[in-house]
Amino acid sequence: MIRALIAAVLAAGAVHAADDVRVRTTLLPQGRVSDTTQLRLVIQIEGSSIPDVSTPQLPQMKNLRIVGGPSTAHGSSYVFDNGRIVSSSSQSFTYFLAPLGPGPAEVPAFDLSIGGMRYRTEPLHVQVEAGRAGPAPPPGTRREEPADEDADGSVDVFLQTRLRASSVWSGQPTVLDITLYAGAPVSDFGWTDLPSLGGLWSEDLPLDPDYERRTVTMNGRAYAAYTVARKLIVPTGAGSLTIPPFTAQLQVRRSARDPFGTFFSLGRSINILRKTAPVKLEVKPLPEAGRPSEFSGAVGSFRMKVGVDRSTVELGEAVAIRATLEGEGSLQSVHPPTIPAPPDVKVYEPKVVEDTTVGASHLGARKTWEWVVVPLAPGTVKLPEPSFSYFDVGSGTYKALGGEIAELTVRRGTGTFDPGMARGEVQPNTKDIAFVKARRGALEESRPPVHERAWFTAMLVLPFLLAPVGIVLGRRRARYLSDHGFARSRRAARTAARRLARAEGRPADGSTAFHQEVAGALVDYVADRANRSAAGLTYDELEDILAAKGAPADLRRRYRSCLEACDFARFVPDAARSQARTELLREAREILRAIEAVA
Amino acid sequence: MRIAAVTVAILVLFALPALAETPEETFDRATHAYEQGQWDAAAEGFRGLLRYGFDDPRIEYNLANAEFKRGRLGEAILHYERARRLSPSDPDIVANLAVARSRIRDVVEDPQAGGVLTALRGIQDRLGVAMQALLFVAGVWIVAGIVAWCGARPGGFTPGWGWGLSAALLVTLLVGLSWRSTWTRLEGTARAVVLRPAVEALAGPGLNNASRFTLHEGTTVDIQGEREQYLQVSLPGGLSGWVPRDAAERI
Repeated sequence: MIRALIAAVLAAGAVHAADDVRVRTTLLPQGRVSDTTQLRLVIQIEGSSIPDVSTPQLPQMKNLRIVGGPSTAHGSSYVFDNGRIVSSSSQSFTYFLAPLGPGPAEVPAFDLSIGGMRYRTEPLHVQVEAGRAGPAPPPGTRREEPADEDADGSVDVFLQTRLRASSVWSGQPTVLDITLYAGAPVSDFGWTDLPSLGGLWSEDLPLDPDYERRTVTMNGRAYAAYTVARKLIVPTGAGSLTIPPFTAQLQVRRSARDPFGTFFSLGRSINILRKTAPVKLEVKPLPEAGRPSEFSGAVGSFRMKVGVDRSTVELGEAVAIRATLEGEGSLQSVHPPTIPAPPDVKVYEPKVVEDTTVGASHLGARKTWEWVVVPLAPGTVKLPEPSFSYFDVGSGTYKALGGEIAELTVRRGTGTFDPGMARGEVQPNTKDIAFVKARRGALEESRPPVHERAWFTAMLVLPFLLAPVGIVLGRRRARYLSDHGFARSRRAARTAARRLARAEGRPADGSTAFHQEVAGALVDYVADRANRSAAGLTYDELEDILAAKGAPADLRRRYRSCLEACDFARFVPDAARSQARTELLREAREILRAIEAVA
Repeated sequence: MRIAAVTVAILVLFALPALAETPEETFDRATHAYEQGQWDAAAEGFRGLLRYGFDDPRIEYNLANAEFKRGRLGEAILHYERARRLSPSDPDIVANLAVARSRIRDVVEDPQAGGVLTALRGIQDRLGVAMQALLFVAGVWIVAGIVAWCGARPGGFTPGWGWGLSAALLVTLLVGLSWRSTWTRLEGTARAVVLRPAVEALAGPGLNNASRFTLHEGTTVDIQGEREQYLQVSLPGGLSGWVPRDAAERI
């Protein structure tokens, strides 16, 4: 005790004095401390009279944080010195600090305002080492405890975390227990640091203090073990997770070294910090293969029970369908099973009517959904099975649950089904499909669409081909109608051919009709081509016309000879010369064909 | 040998009634099953007719009705869509398709829907693709006739005929565009209907891709592309993703 006090005085910060006010800062304990040690920063102000002191504002500290304080204390003393009374006062502020982790820690210099004057402290240092998070070593190897502080964490009290499973699937719940092992009486307990559990969804589980207390022996020492926290944790992702340390402040009553103190239970109580060791949790990702489309994240082992509150209803009455999912796993965020709505049935959105945690380990869950179903048409209604998929941690595969719903018999009832009483237009009671179509006539076989059929293409192309033809024919017809000479010229060959045919039919009885017809055909042909009257045309004029049309001289000579032959025969009939008639007819046709070709 | 012959004879004997049934009788039998509430038998009958190569809107419509009654919303919408393609002006098909679509879980807003466009689509659907094609051909004939008539007559194109030709040309052009757009909408665009209760549309064609959105049974999607066992589908709003080929069937 004395050594500690001497050391404290030696390690005290510098003292600044103005008039007779002295300021001293002390960090206890000193030297090397464990990260579970609670440190005390004492600011001591002394003087014959201490003016107003404002509460010190501590600066940003290195590897330290404030967990309590300041607590203040005042004191005064009177001393007789050479017959006069000398008084002195003191005021102290005590802060409780906790190390953030192993490594050097520092309280930097900071200013104090005392009676309007500023006093600056000296920086204070301490070395923090990792503390013990387990039981004390066996008695033979145990170190000496410090005189008055738990500077090296040797007070035999520690916290331990334990996971029920160190490797789980993503979404699979497990339990985290934090147990306090006390080798000394613990009079107070409080959390100072509850870390956030990233990548985990957690929920505090209730504890029964009487049930949770037990005695365990570790390293030959007996400990009273208390479960101080129990959390249900559910990994929301995959990978390797680390559960950070939990830190608690405990008040431990230490036995006094004085045997009388021990007898009268006068041991001191000290505040100590204890933290748990980090715990690793391996989280396996759920497999992609075989994942059902309706899977909504349920991981565990479940069973489903489906029921309907009655099997016979009247039209428009509601029926309740309940699906209860029960098993080991978390059902917090799962979607309800799906019930596809058949026609003629209105299925309302389900509501959760029960959501409880079951089982001694609190890993179990039970959830019940209720659907309100209203049949809209009479008859028998067979509702499809509700389906629910989950990942079975036992087999490592996805499994589907279902449950048959009893058939519903829907009666029309005595009244009319009227969903609303308000006056208004006639509204359909149900939004159902129209009935099937009856067959009238033969069924249609598969055929290409209209625009892919050949006749359609032909119909589309033909106008472009026929339009130019129509234009040409129309224009020619118009010229026929308007240009007489053109019409005579175009008809000349056909007229001449008809006359020659008619001449051929004349009897060879010696009359002149044949030769008149042939001569007429030849003369009229040339007259028509030249658009002149045939009457009065001489041989020379006919020859001139042919010459003007471009007929060669030989052809003109043959034409003239043929005409002369006809004229000669008209005046010298010779009925017996039928062969000459044929020859004349052939010559006339050839002449007309030759003229048509050249003129 | 004798046993085999007798077996074949028995099989033929039992198969004869089925072979003897005409498509019309199959249709009537399936319709009767539907009337009796035997949805499975009705659906099987109508589906059998489709396998024989019939492409009749009544078969597609009745099959869709049977599938709807069986609670298979995706199949129902698929066959209503096929029936509408064959007979777009049939009010029963349009109404039943609307009823079936009102039951699907996904609400897909068509940004082009509403107003004049919807009215125009209604007119186009009532006329149908084939009728519009025939009207277009008739228009081409009228235009060609006017051109030929005016080209052949001595006076040529008078102002009256000129205006008439312009009007005929414009109407024919509009009918042609309408026919083309109707065909593209009903038949030319590759579309599919989701048949699974729910399917994840992935960012790429493979399970190693992230899920972009979820489609549910009965939703109609446009097919943008195909790759191996996946279809690239899109929604009118612009969402696009890849779904397994067996999760959706082409209309």
